[in-house]
Amino acid sequence: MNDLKTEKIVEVKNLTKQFVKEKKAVDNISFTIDKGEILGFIGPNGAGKSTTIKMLSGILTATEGYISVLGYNPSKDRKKLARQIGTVFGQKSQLWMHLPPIETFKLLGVLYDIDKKILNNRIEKFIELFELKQILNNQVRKLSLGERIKCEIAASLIHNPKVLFLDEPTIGLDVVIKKVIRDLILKMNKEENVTILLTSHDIQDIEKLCDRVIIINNGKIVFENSMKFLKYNFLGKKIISVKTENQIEIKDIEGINVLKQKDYSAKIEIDTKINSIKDIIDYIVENNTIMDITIDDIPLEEVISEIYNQSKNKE
Amino acid sequence: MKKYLYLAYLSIKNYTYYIKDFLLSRFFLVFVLIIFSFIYKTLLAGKESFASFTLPMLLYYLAITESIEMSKVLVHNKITNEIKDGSVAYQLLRPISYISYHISSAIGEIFVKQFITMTIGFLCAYIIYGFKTINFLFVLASFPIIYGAILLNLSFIILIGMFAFYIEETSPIYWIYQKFIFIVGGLFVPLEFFPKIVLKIFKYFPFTYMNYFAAKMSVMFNLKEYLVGFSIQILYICLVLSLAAFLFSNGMKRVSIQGG
Repeated sequence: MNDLKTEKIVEVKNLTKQFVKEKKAVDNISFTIDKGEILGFIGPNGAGKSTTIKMLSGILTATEGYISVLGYNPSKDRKKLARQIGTVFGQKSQLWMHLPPIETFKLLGVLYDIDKKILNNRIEKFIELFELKQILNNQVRKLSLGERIKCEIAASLIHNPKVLFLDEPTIGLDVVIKKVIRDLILKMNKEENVTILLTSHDIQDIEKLCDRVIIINNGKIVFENSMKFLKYNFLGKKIISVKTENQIEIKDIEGINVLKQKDYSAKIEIDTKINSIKDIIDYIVENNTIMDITIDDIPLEEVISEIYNQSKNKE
Repeated sequence: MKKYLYLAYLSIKNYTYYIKDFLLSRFFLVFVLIIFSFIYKTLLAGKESFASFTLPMLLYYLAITESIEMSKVLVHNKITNEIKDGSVAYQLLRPISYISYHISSAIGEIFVKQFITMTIGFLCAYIIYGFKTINFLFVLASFPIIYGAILLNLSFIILIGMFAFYIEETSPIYWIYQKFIFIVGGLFVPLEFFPKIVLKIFKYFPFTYMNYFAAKMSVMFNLKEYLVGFSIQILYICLVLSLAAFLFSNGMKRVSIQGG
């Protein structure tokens, strides 16, 4: 029944979930995940990402469709599957808030029937890998969000799962901690060969971590391709927001689209296929006295609408 | 079995992190016992006993019923919050049943609370009336039914928690349940203080086999009543937990756990 030799660790066919009559939270989606792959699942709020993860882990029952995770039917074999998968829900906690994280790690070891020696080795490994030594004996409720998320990920890996579902693990984190968490996820993927399904609002998460991307909107898959393809075709644009001390001066350069301009500030969209960010920043710095400058990705909603437009044009 | 015991152990560890807060809250019991020692005195109106309960027996009775009442863990609130904020997702993904998880993670805390509360209550009763007024062998023999009462109580609270799969708030149900415990459960006075017909009717309710029954057996032991009552406790625990399991398995089909 549980053939791990197969390349496809997760198989989803025509999956639908309907909570209320009028709206389908997930609408007839199909995809697969290969062993050891990191698949990015992105979409705006309410797109159906978390609902899909909950169906894959067996917490929710699908209205229609077929799911196989490691050869199991998640809703029927939830408890058996639970031993083979790990989950992190970024906005929820599995740690005991009033106790230090080490206590939850030990409890999970007992719940998953892990041999004491093996459990200690795994805890030691995570202490080193996730740099938990300083916080291991502090109460969870006194940890920062970043420290807590590190512990959440370690907790979800204690039982050596073959598949890891990460539901917005970087939500609410600052840029530095986001990078730390991303590095950890990559390390775990390489060291433990764990297959990962990652959902996020943040395109950067997906860009840095994923081999392949699925974009979901209103419960439907609107894009499924490699990260390279998404990056080349849709993520070539960046947004620079700049505040200056002088009246801002921006020339009409090819590849630059001024989205908003006031006396002392401007928001510029740059097509990186035409101009490098460095050249544009050099130009702005040379001609203005900068007070503040930020570089952002274009919003996910814009990527989705561009994907829609391109598919309409093809039709 | 190991996982259930470990959960209970962890719940004790979790609880004793705030032992000072707990001990402080037990002062209320001292206050209750002193007030009731006066009330009972007035109630007996100079008589040595009422319905075979003497003044010291009544105070020890109250120490036991209060130790059960004040040791409750409001698991229904925990379950309701888990369903509301979606963290139930984590519990459902563990290789342990959801109901067993909550029983085990509450029972350790309850036992510690109950034992300490009862000890404080007995100390107060001793200071007021002295040790020799009740037979402590009866108290010792009644421990199985005290724990039976605790488990039956916990089963009901879990059953109430299961309604969170169907309705938004479980606290109104708990509020009604608590009132039954106060009246039918004989929290402040033994049911023998009510008219005989009322006592007969009350004996058909499961609430009678919680605080009242455990406390009465501790101060007025009767082997026949003990065995019958203990069997009824076990029967009710099985019944209530089966109903909770039924509500859970049906509730799981309708749970939405929306949001990230």
